[in-house]
This record gives sequence, C-alpha cells and structure tokens, in this order.
Amino acid sequence: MKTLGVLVSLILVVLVMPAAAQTLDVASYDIEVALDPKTHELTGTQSVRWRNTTGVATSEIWFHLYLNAFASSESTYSRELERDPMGSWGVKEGGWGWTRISRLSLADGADLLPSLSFERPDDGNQNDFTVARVELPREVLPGEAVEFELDFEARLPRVVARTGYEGEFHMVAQWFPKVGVFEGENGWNCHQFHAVSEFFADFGSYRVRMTIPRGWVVGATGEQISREPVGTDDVVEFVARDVHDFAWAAAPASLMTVIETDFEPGRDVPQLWLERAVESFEVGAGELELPPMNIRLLVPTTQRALAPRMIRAARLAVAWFGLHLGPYPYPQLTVVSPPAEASAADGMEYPTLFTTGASRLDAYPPWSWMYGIESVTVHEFGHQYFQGLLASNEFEGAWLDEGLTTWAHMRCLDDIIADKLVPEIRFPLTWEIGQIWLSFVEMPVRVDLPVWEQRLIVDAVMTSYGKTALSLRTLEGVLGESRLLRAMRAYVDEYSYQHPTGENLRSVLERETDEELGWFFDGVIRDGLTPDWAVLAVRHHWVRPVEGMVWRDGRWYEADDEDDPGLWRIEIELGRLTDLVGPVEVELRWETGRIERRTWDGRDSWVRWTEESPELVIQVVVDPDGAWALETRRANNYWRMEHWSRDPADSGPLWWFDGALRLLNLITVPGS
Amino acid sequence: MTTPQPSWTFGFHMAMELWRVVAAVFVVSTIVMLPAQVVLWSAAGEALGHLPGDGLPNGEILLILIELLVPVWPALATAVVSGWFALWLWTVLWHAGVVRWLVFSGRRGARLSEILSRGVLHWWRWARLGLTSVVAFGLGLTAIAVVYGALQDRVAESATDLMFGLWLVSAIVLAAVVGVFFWLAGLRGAWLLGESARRSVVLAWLTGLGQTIRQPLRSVLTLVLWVLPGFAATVGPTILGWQFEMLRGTIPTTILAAVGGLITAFCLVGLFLSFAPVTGMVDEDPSDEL
Repeated sequence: MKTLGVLVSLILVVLVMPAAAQTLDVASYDIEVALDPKTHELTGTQSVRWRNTTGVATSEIWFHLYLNAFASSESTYSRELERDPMGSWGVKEGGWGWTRISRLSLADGADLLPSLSFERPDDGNQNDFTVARVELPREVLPGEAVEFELDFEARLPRVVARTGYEGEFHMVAQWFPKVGVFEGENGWNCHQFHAVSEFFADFGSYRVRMTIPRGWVVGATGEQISREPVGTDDVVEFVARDVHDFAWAAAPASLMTVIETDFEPGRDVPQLWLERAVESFEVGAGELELPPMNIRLLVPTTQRALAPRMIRAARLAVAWFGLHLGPYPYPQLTVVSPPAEASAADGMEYPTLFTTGASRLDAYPPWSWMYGIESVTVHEFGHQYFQGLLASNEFEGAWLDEGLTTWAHMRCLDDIIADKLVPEIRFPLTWEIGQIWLSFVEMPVRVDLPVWEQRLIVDAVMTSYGKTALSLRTLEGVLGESRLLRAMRAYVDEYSYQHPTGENLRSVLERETDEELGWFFDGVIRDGLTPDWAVLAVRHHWVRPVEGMVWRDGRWYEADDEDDPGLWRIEIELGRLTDLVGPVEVELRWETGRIERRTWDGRDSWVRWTEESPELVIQVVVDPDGAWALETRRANNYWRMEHWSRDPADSGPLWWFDGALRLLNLITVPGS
Repeated sequence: MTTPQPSWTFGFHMAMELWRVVAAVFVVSTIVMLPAQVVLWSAAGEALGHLPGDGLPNGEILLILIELLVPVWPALATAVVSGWFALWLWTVLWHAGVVRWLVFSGRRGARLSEILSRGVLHWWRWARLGLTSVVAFGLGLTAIAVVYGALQDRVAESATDLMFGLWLVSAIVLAAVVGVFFWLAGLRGAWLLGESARRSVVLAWLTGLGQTIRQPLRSVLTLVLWVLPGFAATVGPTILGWQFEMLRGTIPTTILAAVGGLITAFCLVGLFLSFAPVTGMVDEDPSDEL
C-alpha cells in the first residue's frame, strides 16, 4: 500500500509540475516527519540529493540548522537582538528551540556523522550552532550528485521570527537540516541565522510526509496529494517542485478553519488592470492571459469574518503580479493567517505558501479602513516572485527580495486603492509612509550591505524594505512607469529559478531601458545617496524701455512702447544639495498662467537660468511630480511670488492650524 | 427631598448678564494660542509661504510639515501644553469667581474685576476640584481599559462576530458615558463647592456625581444643548475651509472664526451657569425652567 502510495505520489509530482521556464534540480528532499503536539517536537528522517552544478569539485557539504538560532541567549540571533533590542523579536521565556542531527550517512551507508562540525563563518561566535559542515569520503565532481540520509530531532520555539508554536498552533518553518548553496570557487555560501536576515537555498523537489494529530488542519508548500489515517494520527503528504524551501502550518480544526478556493482569471483580473497592462507592455490581451490556480486559506476560526478580505487581497495580488511580472507558475497557493497570539508568525514568505496577518479588530471600523490585510497579503505574495522565483541571496542582498517586493506591493496597493477594488480602505497614504520614515534618518544608510553589517537593526529593515522601494519608485519616476515595468518583467523572465544579484538586475534594467543607470546603482544603492533639490533664488530685474531715440530704417525715431515695452530679466537658480546626480523636471508658472516644463540634467551642483520676458515667473517647482520619491526634504523645492497673489490671512497648508488649536483648547474644559 | 435641577435658560440669561466674563473667556482662549502660533510661523512661515496656493498632495504636505516642524517640536509642544495649562488655570479662576459671586453677592454688580478677585481668593479650592475630575476620569478610563483588556482574548476566542462587535461598541460607549458623567460631576461639584458648609472637594465631586446619576437625562440634555452649538462654532469655520478651498485663510473666514470663538465662549459660560441652580441657593426665576 505504501509502495503504491509512493508510486502515485511520483506520478502526481510529474503531473503537477509547473510549466517552468527552467528547472534546476540542485537540492531535493524526501522527508518523513512527525509532530508531537504536546512537546512541540519534530522527529524526522530525510534523504537529500544534492547536485554539484558548478565547475568546481567539493568534498564537503554545509548545512543550515536554523532552529538552533533559538537555542540560547548566546546564539548569534539572540546576541544581535540583545545588542539592539527589537520589541518581541527575542525568544520568549521557556520557548527555546533547537535541532540535532542524530544520524547522517551516505546512501551507501558510509557514516558521515563523525565528521560533522559547526561553522561560524560570519562572526566566529562559538555558541552559535546554526551552520554545520560534514566531510565527504570523496569529492563530488562538477555535474555529479550525492545522496545522503539523516535523522533529526527538533523542538520548535514558541513563535519567534516567524517559526514555532503558540498553544496548539504550529508554524513549522526553517525546521529541517537544509543544504547551503555551493558557489564553486567561492565555496559554500551558508550564513548563520542573524536577527534580521532571511534565507538562501537552491531549487529542487520536495516530498514531505508529515504525521500530525487526527483531524488537524494543515497547509504546506506545494500540493497535498494524500491524507491517510494511521493509528491516532493522520499522515499527510505534500509534493513541491522547483522550489527552494518547504514550510508548513498545522493546528486543530477547532482553532483554524480551512477554506479551499481558487483564482479564476476571468473573474478575478480587474478589466481596468488588464487594459492598462496591455497599454504598458504594448501586447495583446491574450499574451497576458493568466492561468487559474487553487488557493487554500488557513484562518483562525475567530477571524473567519476576515477570510473574504484575505482571499480578495490574494486574488488581486495574483492578478497584479501576473499581469505585470508574468504568471505565477505554480498551481497552488497556500495562505496562513496565524492566530492573534502567534502574531510573531505573521507576514512571512515561503515558496507557494505565505503567512499574512490580521487581528479580529480588523473587521471593525476604524481598523477596517486601514489596508493592513491587503498590504501584508500582497507583500508576501510578491515574494513568490522576488524570493520564490528569483532566489537572490537574502543574507547578503536583502534589498533584492524585500526591496523589490515592497516596490511591487506598493504599486499593487496603489492600484487597489485608486481603483477602489477594496472599498473598505479609507487610508490613502502609501509611499508617503516610507518617505516619512526615511525623513527621520539622519545619516546615509547603504542599501547593498549584508543586514548584519548595518549599524542598527532598524537601519537594516528600513534599507531593505522602504528605502529600496522608494529608490525604485524614483527610478520609475525618472524612467517612466511603463519602461521600468517592462524592464522588471524582463528581469523576472530572465532570472526565474536562479540566484540573481544586483549586477544582474542592473544589466537587465540598463539593457531594457537603454539607459546608463550608474546614478541609481552606484549612487543610490551602493553609496546610499539621497537627493535634495532646491530653488535657491528667483530674481526679477525690470529692464526699462529704451529712452530717447531709436534707429530704424535708416532714420532716428522717438522711442515709444511699441519699440520696447520693457522686459523682466529673470534669474532662476536651482541647486542640487547632495552628491546624487540625475535629471530633474522643473516647472515654471508664468504670470499669464502659462506653465512651462524644463529638464535640468543636474550634473552641476547648481544652475542659473536667465530669461528675458515681458511676464513674471510667479512659481517655480523642482520635481513637480515627485518623481524623485527618495527626496524627503521637499519644502525647498518650491518658490512662489507669495505676496503677489496671496491673501495675507492665508496660512497655506496650515490654514486649519488655528481651528485645531481652538478644538484642542476645548479639551481643558471638562477637567476644570 | 428633590434634588434641584440644572436649567439651560438660567444659564443663558446669566451668560448674557455676565457678558464681560464671556468676552474674557474668548480673549484668554485666543491669547493662549499665541505662543504656539509664534513658534509655528517663525519656524515654517517662510517655507510655507512658498508652497503653491492650489494645494499639494496630502502625503507631500505631511512630509513638508514633518520636515519643518520636527526640528521645533519641543518648542511647539511646550507652547501648546503651556497654552492648555494656562487655559485650565484661567477656567478654574472664572469658575471659582462666578460661583462665589453668584452664591454670595446676590447677583449684584457683575463686574469682571469683582468676579476675578473672588476667583483668585478661592482658586486653589476649585483647582483641587478640577484635579479630582481629571484623576477620576483617568482612573475611570484605566479601569475600563484594564477590564476590557483582560477580557479581550477570552471574548475574541469565544464570541460570535456580532457579539464581539457589540462588545467593542460597549467599551466605546462606556468610555463616553464615564467621560460625560464625570464632566457633569465636575460641573455640579463646582457649584456645590460654593456651599459654605462644604469642606471636602472630593465629597463635592462625589455628590455631583450622585446627583448626575439621579438626574441623568436632565444633566446630559443640558450639557448637550450647550456643547453642540459650542463645538459647532469651534469647528464650523475649519469645516467650511475644508469643504470650500476658496474660503481658506480669507478675511471673512477669519471673522467667522472670531465669531465662532465668541459663541464658544458664550456656550462655555452658559453651560457652567446652567448648573448653578443645583446648589438650591441661587435665586432662580421659576419661569426660567427648561
């Protein structure tokens, strides 16, 4: 029966295999694991087939043992958080987690366990056990594969860093010994678990059979192909292909509800979005056709009222990303909304599965007016592209997944709000939140640093997410929306199922836009520069009409207004107050209402434009469209001839300030 | 024995009679805003003056305000809080003065100087009553937050969506009721404190609370009849500016804001005086009954 089950599984693996552009079967896993719901321990057996796809032989294998990050207060994860505390990110009291390999051998039976040692490539912390290395009895040559088996035990931590248990809810992530990435001459890329950094792994196939208590609900990477009662438990089997990780969630049916639904393009793709995408990409609607897929939602029974909103957000995300970056290539998407007490598991991405996050309050105004559910859901779905498909090294270049995802998710969110596709949302600010956050940063922060090399965790978070997203928003503003979208789509298309770097992104973007983007990749991404444009001065000098005689047609005539009505000599001085060089639009508004747009190349630190005109310039705005979204000091971008047209009683944008003060003053009355 | 009731019409007539107090309330409430305005305009006036008159996107306005105001926020916050504090000191002053004048002078010679001099002499007594109100309100809200906070997880796990929604609404309603009742207790307590035999401000406040609980409708109605027009007069000009951009910062709107401030001051004085009859010692014309 079991043999038949395996056979059926293998057939289904082939049948459900997505139509991927490229299949890289580098690290494939076959895992059997049992969850003890009382001790929160996992007991597993795993066989791994690893293929050397580089041109260099290796005689060792490096593993991640991620759960050991939560083993003690001395792990690198804990130490980094101790140095720079981040609220509830630390391991909860009594909730330590760990993992241990108890058997490790090659497929031919050769014992590898004696050669296992722990490595600390990032900080040398001898109390960190998140990376292990084993010596192989012989080299794995280029193109060769090696198969080995191991037994492991693990205890999940109380939910921390998006993995663990809380009560009977189990978010089982980063739970199995996982092979690092071999980079040929550069050796193994296998970093320790840091406080902020995420993960990096090779693509492969997964078959996971998990034993869970009878009747529990489960959601996992890939597709469920069977569920059988065995004793007092259920054995559930999932398969996934062309993915680089596997995560799962399990809980009693009384705690979590499963909703099986789907994405049906005819129903779920907003017509408006399709039309815009057709225009942006200059293709026929047929070329943007998206495939249908299944969606499984695990939602706490107490949050069931929010399920329709989560499903709607997921469908909109599938539609937006599919139209703009290419179709989601897997037939299944699983969304897990952890219970409120396990909110530390909210908002995390794994291949074909992500966790969203909500509170029961989100069903009620004013919480329901916010876009928290949409934002998290769209963002985590976005990672199915920038991490799931484009598996860049999240340790060393978190901006490539978090930043690109945040840019795309904000674009999607903008469209959702602008097109009123979630009418409940009444909070209109999106990019502005990031700009405000960035405006509080006092010193330049580089984007392309490994996150643990940032001075503060908050810097790491800000650069990886908001700053990169605003940088891309700036690039979009300067290049134009369609050009950047087309270039991003090409990037996704070209590097799916690979490990793209910043250089790869740069080469695709430069090629697709036919622009030299050094100012962006060197200035913004590498050097952490931000722009600050300014109107330095605007001066008007009245050039008086000629007095006396005018020489015309060989004779002298008395000068009059028709000969020379007089002119304004106008000097407009613009400044670039930082070292970030780039082109910027400038808008001049003339006295007669005429509006003129010019482009300043921004190469010099300042420029003076001199004009002679019978009319005055009454307003000058540098970057009137806010194309340079990274610019957070905007007050000096404006100049206007205020006393010409403004009522002295007008207080500009703070016209409401007095009214607000009067209202505030009423607060004192009940206390008197 | 029946508890004397507040009277809206009595408050109205007395506020008319005490027009000097109304004017003083308006002037002081305007003056206390000046420091905040000075800080704001000196820090941001020049830059704000260069922004386009036809508006900016909301997010950009916010960004620019943060850019301009964050560097001066300690001064701005100090100015606003000082303004509040000054206004509180002043409100206690005229409350004390008006009570002492009305209870002990037989409504003769409603001169501002006399009212204020009486207020200065007894200011600390009424200030303690105000502090009692503030502390009681804080304790009430804390108690609600603690009880609801402790029950939240349990309710969230077990209640249906409808019940959970009602439970949330009940918290808001309860907080509002506590706020209104404690405010009314303070208003009644301020007048009860005028009784010559009364010693304890806490007992005065508690007696006021007891009276409010015994006459909830009458008390709340009196409050609402004064607060609604006062609130409308305060926010009206701002709402007009919000709805009609062309009215923002214009001279007519400035005049309207000043008139609104006067109406608010009248309502505040009228509200306070409407509770004078609760002492039973004020000579109240029965025809003034609401």
